[in-house]
Amino acid sequence: MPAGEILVVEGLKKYFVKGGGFLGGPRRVIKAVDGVSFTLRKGETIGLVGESGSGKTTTGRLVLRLLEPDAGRILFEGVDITHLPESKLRPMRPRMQMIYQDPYWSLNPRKPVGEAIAEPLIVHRLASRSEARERALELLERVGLTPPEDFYWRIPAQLSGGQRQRVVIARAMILKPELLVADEPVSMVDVSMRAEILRLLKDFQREYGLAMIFITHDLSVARLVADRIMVMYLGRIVEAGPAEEVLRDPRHPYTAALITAAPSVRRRRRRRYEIRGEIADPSNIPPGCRFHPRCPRATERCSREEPSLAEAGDGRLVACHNPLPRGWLAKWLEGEGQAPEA
Amino acid sequence: MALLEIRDLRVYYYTLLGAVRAVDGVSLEVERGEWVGVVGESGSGKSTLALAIMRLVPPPGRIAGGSIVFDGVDLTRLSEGEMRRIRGRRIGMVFQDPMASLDPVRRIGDQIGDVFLEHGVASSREEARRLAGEALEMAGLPRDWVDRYPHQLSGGQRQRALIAGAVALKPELLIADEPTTALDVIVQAKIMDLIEELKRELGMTVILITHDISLAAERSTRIAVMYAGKLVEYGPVDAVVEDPLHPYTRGLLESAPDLWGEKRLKGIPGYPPDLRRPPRGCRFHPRCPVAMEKCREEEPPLVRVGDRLVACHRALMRR
Repeated sequence: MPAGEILVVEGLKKYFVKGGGFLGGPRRVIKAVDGVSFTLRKGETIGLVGESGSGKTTTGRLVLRLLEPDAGRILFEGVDITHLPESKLRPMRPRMQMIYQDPYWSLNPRKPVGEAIAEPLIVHRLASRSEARERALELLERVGLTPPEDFYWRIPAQLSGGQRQRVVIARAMILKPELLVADEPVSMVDVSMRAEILRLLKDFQREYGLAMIFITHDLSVARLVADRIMVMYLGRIVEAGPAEEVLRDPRHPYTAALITAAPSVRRRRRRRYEIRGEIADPSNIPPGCRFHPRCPRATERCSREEPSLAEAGDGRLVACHNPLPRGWLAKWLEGEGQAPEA
Repeated sequence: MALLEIRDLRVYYYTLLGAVRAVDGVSLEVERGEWVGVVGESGSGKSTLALAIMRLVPPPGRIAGGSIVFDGVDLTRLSEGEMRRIRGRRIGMVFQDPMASLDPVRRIGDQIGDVFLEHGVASSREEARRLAGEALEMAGLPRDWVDRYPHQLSGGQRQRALIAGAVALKPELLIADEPTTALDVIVQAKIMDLIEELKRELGMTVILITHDISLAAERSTRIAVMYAGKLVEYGPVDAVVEDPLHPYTRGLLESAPDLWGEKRLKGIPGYPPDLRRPPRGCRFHPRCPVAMEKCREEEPPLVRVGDRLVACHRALMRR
């Protein structure tokens, strides 16, 4: 494995089976993640972007082995952890952390938040109780919950949403992890407090050389934190590349639709690239390219043959038989190019 | 005469720990044919304002003062029976969560059909279902989906069905409270298109309540910004987003990530106040980057500046 790579994911799959048994309704196989491959370097942030049902959260949980993969391989620091038993995984756990969207549900409502922050050190036997307490107080200070002695004994209900998310970050960071999966960490935080949460994550990242998978449905948030963006659709990556380039010059029609649909104060009357309908049910994935029923550029081939994620130059990967030409978005926004059929 | 004239409205929630002043002296006028975006964060009072207009503030909350004059009639003085004749018929409302607003075990057509029966527009279930079919079609869904159950629809389709119900009786005013918050961006844009189209076809006035100033900015004629129960700025959308007068409006704009904006996000330091004990003076002063002595002492009145209203001592000095 080349130096600098902390995570290598190859052909990852996760299927969930719903129903089928006694009174369970018809058996359905939900292909949540259906062949995902990527590499994450030390200190790098990947923005994993997609709509609900795209499989982005499942992907995040799989790479941390919070879910068992059905196929594929996960290498963490060169170690194949795909099927590593929990006993062997346990000592590695402190090095990989996850933070969730809703800070309320990821905290025990009766536990003082300082104790919650100290807990991982004690559970993993990395510090004595009093050392852990000291570290928790430092972390509280670090995430801006001051005076820390005052915040230590508060319970989650006594904190605002933004403050709770700071607690969750402190608890993940007390272990100085090397890999962090942050699942929509600001989507439940009030707009005026998001910048501060994102800044905290970036500061920790710089300090610990943390690699981060930042999961979000919001491209404009991904742009602020990500070095690279990966766009997922129905369990697959459809486009990946350097963040600013993907956003300025998307090559996959789905990425173009997402970009031009994102609300913007700066371009209030922009031209939208419209696609049909809504994301399909992941238990009923369309044949061929899974995006083809919604795609304005779909041809006959797209309904038969699934495109693979292929190099499109300059580090860009696109899974499309008929990608948008280079420089397409700028022209589209200026009013050139045909509107897709309604 | 304005279609809606809110004067010094106060809505308080009377809790054991004291009165939460969720809406505290808001005055706002909406002209016929406008699309007004009401923007604010949690605790700003924007949703309570919407509920107050519909007279649906849940206990322990109630309208503690002020007036809501809709087409010449003060809604705060109507009996529940009189209000029922306005709700759904002259003022329609759509809420955030389409699943919570629909009964999972009743067919879509029957649920939308209720509004026709309640207002005596249909005299039978059959007729109500037929009219519900027409309403669905108006919202971009097939007429025969009256027979479907909510779980057979996607999130976006459910929101379309609810909009169909809200506009079925061709109301003059539609209040949409975070109608797309639970939806993905592509579907969100389509729902906004639908509301815009219906507004044009039916000649409606729209009030869009949202936490997202970008979303509000795209289609509104005017934007109202709320903070901690107060209206802090109100004016034409271009003026408000390009030259905000209130420091909170400015902060909110600088906090909103934008694909075509700055790559640095600023944010606003601090946290919103406890509305049981709001700060003295201007409620924004503890978080305001340009607060003066006066802001700590004296509450700024809402003052007209050109075609805008603003409640800020600093903004008034500037002009």
